[in-house]
Amino acid sequence: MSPPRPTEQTLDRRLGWGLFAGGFFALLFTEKASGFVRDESVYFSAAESHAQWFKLLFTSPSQAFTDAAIVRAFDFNHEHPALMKNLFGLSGLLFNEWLGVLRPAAALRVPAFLMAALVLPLIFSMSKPVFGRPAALVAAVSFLLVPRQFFEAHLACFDVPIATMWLLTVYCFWRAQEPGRYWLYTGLAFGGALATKHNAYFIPIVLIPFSLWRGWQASKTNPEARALFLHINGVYVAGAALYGVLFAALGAQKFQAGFELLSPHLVLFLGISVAGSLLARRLKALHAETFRAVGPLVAMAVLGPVIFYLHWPYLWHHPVERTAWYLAFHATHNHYTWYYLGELLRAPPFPLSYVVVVTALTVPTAIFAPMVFGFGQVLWKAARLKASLLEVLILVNAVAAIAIISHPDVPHFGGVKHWFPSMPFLAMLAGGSVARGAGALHAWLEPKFKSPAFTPNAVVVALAALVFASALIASNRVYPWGTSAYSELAGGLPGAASLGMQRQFWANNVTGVLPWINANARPGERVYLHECHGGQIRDYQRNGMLRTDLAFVNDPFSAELVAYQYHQEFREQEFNVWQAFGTSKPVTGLYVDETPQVVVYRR
Amino acid sequence: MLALVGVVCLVFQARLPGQLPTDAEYAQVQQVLEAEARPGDALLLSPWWTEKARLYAPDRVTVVGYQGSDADPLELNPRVWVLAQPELPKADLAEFQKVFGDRRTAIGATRSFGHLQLSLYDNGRARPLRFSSMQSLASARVAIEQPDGRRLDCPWTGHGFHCAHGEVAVEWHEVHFQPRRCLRFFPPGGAAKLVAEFGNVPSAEQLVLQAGFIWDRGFFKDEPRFTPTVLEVRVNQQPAANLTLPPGLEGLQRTVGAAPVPEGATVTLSVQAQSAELRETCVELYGFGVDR
Repeated sequence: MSPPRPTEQTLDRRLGWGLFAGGFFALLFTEKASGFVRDESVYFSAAESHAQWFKLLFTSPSQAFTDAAIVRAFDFNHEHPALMKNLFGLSGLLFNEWLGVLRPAAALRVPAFLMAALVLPLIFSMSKPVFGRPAALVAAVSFLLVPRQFFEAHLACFDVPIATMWLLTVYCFWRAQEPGRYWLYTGLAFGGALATKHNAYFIPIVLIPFSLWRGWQASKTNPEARALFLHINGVYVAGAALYGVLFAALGAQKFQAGFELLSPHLVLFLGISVAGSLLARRLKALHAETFRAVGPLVAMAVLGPVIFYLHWPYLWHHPVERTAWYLAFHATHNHYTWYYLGELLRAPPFPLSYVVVVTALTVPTAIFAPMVFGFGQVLWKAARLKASLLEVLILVNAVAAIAIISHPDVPHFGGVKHWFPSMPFLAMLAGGSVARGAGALHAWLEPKFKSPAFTPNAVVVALAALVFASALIASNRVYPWGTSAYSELAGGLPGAASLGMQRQFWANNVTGVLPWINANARPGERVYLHECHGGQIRDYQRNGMLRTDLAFVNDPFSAELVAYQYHQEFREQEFNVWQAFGTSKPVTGLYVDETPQVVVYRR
Repeated sequence: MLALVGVVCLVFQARLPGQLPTDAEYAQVQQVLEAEARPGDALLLSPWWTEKARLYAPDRVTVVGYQGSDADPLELNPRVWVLAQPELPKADLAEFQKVFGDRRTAIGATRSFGHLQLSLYDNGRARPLRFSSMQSLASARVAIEQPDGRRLDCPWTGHGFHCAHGEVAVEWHEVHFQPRRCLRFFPPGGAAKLVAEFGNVPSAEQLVLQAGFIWDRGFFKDEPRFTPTVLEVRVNQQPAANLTLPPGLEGLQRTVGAAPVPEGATVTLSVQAQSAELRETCVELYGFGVDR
């Protein structure tokens, strides 16, 4: 007797877990090759500092809660919230310091793998109702087949985690439209997103229109629910207006300075939260459908700030002053030079098309094409008012981060990572497109193939394999030089070099020449690893990737060996090496598909 | 449609490794250059970014590869070797030839070494060099000159001249992507000029002054603290050429002197900018003989 077939739900759960586990282990097993990017070594340091505070919390709690102890642990890199760094630090303690099962870097990176792996079942779960199971599987897998995403999913950074948290918040919001407690989970997920990276501040902007539209529609037949719905909105609008008045009346400095315990500012926040929550509670009892539209946003408004405050000890003693600094830091972030179509972009305004063009040139074309087709198809459906809420939600989120970063005044450095939150949604559209294409192919071929094995699902698998094989090959070719990956549309790395595109960033490609340096440097030789800061050198050394007897210097003039990272904006620094060493002839280098990435000179 | 895109991409990925040269192919090119290249030859790369060739080029050959190098006249190089990789994606040898080909004559046939193509050209754009400020720097007199004509000499250090505001020396610098072996010749600021005086300069048909801001300095423009940088050349005290580099001007600028330089002339090069902030300037002064 054959075992009973799993129910649809069980099958989906198994597939979800399978995707999660597959993603996690794929990242874990390929982790070693990924170099440490500039930011990652900073986050490693911060994470380890946070971990020390957690140790103190257990050994001397009263001391741990003092601002002095908190500042000691959390002041470094306080331009980013603490959630991921807390997790990195605790993971480092567990897997390296206590269990000793992973090297330091891998131990610190484990939470990043978990966050990245979570994207896959979330994509699957969100895609399936719209595009079907095969499409959902294709969509999920395609996310990690984008070489830049696969590479950055390894890093103990925040760009993939914020994409996960954005997706999770939207997922919970969507699920909250059905009976259940997802309205609450939406608030929790949003709090987690705020605690991950500042991109989260844009999530409400994307979700509010959906909430208003749904709430308006749902309360159409119930005047009392409509009134409550309007009251809830009124509370938040009035709250925002009152804050605006306070800000205008007091000025930025006094407004910030006056935001203390028992100040009008805090009372206003509490008032809004309590009033919003009470009204939402009444609405829940009165008209569940209208509540489901607005409840998630109330939860976000209440839980978001609370979680943000609670998760970050650095805010505990000076919440407003330190939050204001954090927000101001990102509102006035530097512009780093970026090479784009033969031009060095040093300052705004940046080209409006930049994000779309770079996406087209970096996402494997076989994945980018179905993204575009899928986007067009759902957009067409939406334009004819035939799209479901979920389809429109996917569509809007697919463009949200791209639209935000496309603004000509927003910093454009960092490759594609700043619009990662769009990519899971674009993956869903790609999956849908592949499945639709497979359906059409199946219908066309079915009369010719009478075999029972020729099922629609078999065609999806075959088409997905064909479409994604090139992406898999590209990922395999370019990994771990993920920041250098370019698509077929760009002509790969050589084509992108001819187009005048940024060849790499973040300084991790130096791992390509470390074996040569380890083998050839003289004992105590003075080495300048251009663009690598002390934290990266420390991490390469403690992870056994770089000799510890070498002397590291900060300029070519005092060095005997230089590993120059090829960036168009740094050519002057390469010519400084020629000047210092009296030669323009390298001794070795990392040349990926012929493109110079890291060039080594010896005096 | 998707299947077609998938197949095209698959073909691209499958072909790419086969379009890249091997180390053995580079070694063959190296052998030819070692045997046949002369001092003063240039090795021009196509596409411009294929600088892996630097690993294999003999020291006596100047390797040239920067964004825009297809159009470099290479005036100082009578012969140019072109090392091309026409099979690379988006490589366009025909476009390269359009830009490069003017007044260049092929010497012999193109030789292929796997994916590499090596061709030698007579460079009709090269010119006989009579004088170079870089070659003659050690014998120059360098000083800071006040508006009233008073000069404060900068002493020779063995490597360059040490002036109050910094060194004057021959150095490699980037001028809007180009590596230039030029005079580090920074304005001292205010009304004062930095002056380099070259005595007993050989006669030249044409005086050429080239200058540009180093690295990113040409980008800065929108603040009033940045002022124009003025370069002037005098031959036997008479104005011969000048260049003004306004803030925001990127790239190497060039001007040609109005008259030939007589034998044994004194040539004075000066630079001045009211504000010296971020006005680091790379300067080259040449005297060329009659065109070939």
